[in-house]
Amino acid sequence: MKKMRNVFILLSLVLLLLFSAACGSKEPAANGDNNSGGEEEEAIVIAGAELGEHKITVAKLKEKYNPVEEDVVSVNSSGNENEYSVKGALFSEVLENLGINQKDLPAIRFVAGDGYMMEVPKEVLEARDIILAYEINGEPLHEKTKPIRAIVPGERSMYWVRNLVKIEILEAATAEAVSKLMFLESVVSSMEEHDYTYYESIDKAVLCKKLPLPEEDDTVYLKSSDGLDKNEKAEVFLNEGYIKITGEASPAYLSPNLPKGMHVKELLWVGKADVGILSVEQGLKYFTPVQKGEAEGILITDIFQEVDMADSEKYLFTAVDGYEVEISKDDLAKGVVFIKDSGEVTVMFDGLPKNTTVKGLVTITALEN
Amino acid sequence: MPKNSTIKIALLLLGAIILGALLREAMFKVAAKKTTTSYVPALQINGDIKNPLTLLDEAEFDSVDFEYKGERKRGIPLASIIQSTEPITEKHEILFIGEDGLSALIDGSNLDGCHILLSENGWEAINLLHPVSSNVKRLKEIIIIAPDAPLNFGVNIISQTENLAYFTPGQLYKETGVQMPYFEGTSTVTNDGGQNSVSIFTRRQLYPLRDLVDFSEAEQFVVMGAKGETLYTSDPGFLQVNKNFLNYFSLDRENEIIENVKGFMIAPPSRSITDLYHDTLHYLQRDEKVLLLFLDGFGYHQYEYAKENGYIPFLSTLPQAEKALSVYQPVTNAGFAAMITGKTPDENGVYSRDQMDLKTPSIFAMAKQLGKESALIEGHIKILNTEIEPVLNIDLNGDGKNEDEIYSTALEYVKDANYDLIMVHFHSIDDAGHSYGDLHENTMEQLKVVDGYVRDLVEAWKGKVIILADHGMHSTEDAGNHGEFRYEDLIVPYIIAEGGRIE
Repeated sequence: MKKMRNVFILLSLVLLLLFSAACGSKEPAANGDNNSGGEEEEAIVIAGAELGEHKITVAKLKEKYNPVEEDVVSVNSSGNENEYSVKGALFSEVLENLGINQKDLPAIRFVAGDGYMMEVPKEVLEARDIILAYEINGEPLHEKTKPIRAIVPGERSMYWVRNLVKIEILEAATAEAVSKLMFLESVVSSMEEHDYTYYESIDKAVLCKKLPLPEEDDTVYLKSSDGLDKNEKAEVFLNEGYIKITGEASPAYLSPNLPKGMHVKELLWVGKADVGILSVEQGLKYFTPVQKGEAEGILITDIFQEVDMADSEKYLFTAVDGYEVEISKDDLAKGVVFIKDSGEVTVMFDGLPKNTTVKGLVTITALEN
Repeated sequence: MPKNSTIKIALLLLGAIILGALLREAMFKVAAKKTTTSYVPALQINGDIKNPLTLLDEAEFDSVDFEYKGERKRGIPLASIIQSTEPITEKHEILFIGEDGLSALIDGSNLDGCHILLSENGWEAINLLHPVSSNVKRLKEIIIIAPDAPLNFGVNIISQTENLAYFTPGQLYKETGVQMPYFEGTSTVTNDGGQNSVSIFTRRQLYPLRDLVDFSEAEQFVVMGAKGETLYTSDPGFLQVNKNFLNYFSLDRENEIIENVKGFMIAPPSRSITDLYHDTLHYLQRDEKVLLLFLDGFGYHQYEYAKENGYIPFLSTLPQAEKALSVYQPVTNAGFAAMITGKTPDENGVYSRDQMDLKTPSIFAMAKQLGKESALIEGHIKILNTEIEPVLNIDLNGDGKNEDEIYSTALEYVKDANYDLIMVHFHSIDDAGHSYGDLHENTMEQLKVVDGYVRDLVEAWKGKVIILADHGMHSTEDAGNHGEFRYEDLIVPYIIAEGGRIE
């Protein structure tokens, strides 16, 4: 009996040690692991120049946003595929809550706790969902993957960043500032006009390819005074397009060879690379107008903010007849652009000498500091 | 406690510790052994199949013994691998591609004696009854090619009047492609020594569309994807095989990709069925009333044929119809949604027969905003959920059709001066097209009936009239169908006319 008891003790001890051996194994037990910090403490930070830093805990992500569950396939650098079932919150919904549209962002950067960083370009942000995953294959994330794993279905696994701690919004990184701003009414005054049949009327239009836009950049940005904007392929804009400058809905980007859904009516401004062309007529609808004598005008500072004018100490205002005025950055707030009865685009600066007024204003150029 | 018992317990403990330590060491060794793997190359089975397959282990299929050159071998019957991938057609070819690029094409109708095995030569094909040159070693891919695949499986290249060429993922492997590096992105790691970055590229096999079809004259193209993506471009771009579907790829425009591309049209018409929304809005904003006559399943080629052969006497008196481009997939839900929202299916959310809800506002919402009264008159089934409830019509007189009831209801609404916007959906041309064929006499006779309804409605209306179709119709072996990227389904008539009696 005593022997049996000794054997029992021995077996129990062996089992105990075996159990402890298994627990001490360095092999990962499973994807799931017990919480060490707790979801209340686990968090990611979303940061941006304008946004500042927003910390969101994993618990908040679960509580506040609809969970999405998706079967996804990752493709690693050697082309091998792995299938997962993931659960998390949509990054686009988190951004929406911060007043940001994912598709409008120029780029973001995922930053992992171990220093790994991955930039996600605009094309991916426009086309893909980004899942901030807190569960993989039905289990909480592994300790090394916490607090969040970014999942970008359809993209390669280098975007699927583990141990995601920060998402940086690269607002200024890729968006090109406008360094030369032109005024459409003055620009088209010297351009060849063509007849353009628009429903029952025959209006006047200029060819997009004749606009003074730079060759750089494959994309043209177009914004309407009702706030709608779009990017158009430069080749389509230049090869097919017209700017209709008279009649209904003008100025309007349109083409007899394109469906009407691709047209932009009441065009506020067009941007390509670092050049922008703005319609004062539509600007008076879009911006809050200020009274300038008998005419209504637009604050230069409002225009600069809209087109993201390049920062400079001095700006050169040029008229169609070549007259030039240099204005310092500090005096910009005094400037108002308006259309005179004669139809000339004009800028006046309150409190500055009269010779700073430019009639027939065609260009504002940010001078190099 | 007696002294010898204490010694016994101490010895037992010592023994347990030693035994435990030994077992623990053994467990790590087993674990370590488990993680040691030898490299097994992946064998991809792609092409014109429903289920692409990556073979990493012979054990995934039952193997059989066979004799080859006097030696006993064991391998997987090729037929069982092919069967598991579900080829889209019974008749197909099989292309073996080796790592060195060596390729061998065999007929897939007789796979007796064909085996795939993993040997010192990697994956290897041994085909006992085929010429020995079909025995490709170091196999990388097996491609199933369906010469007669249905149009919707691959990419169709068309003009406004012709279906020019068709390629499935499998068929493209027989074409000349180019390899191009594709920049995937840059990742960075920060460590004590600073930052290290790596740029990732993949070498992609691309097929220039310009090499697949001669369209040197054309300057503009439109590309459409399975979800209704629509891209107007002057750069023809490339096709890329992705297992069992094709992507459209443009290197020029920020590497733009349309996944699962369905078609490519050369020199598309300038009109789109999405123009309906914009034109209607234009007239409503000018306080003109608009009557929209939506003739389901009426292709431009049917319009021309019917006009030439006297089946549409009234439509022939109106201005010549313009050609308008429908959307992918050219089916009623998607075409109808595109017409009334002015947006392509990828934007309005309706890209097949399976969706009913619009993601963007329709012309009925815009009319309401303008303070205009609208009506939508349809058959007995509601097709889309729009901002207004449709007026549905059943077969009241039991003649087997409800088109006459749609007409009667529409005539009442048209004569009611309270409506600024009325859309009438006639579907009997589509029904006849499906039953008999796009140009069959019975279909043409039905078109003649609808032409009479259209005449009465137009003559009773005071305002603008727009007549158009959601999609067209093509001939099949036994009747007609639509839903494919082909000119018969995608090019439809678009007529703008004035209401009232023509004197």
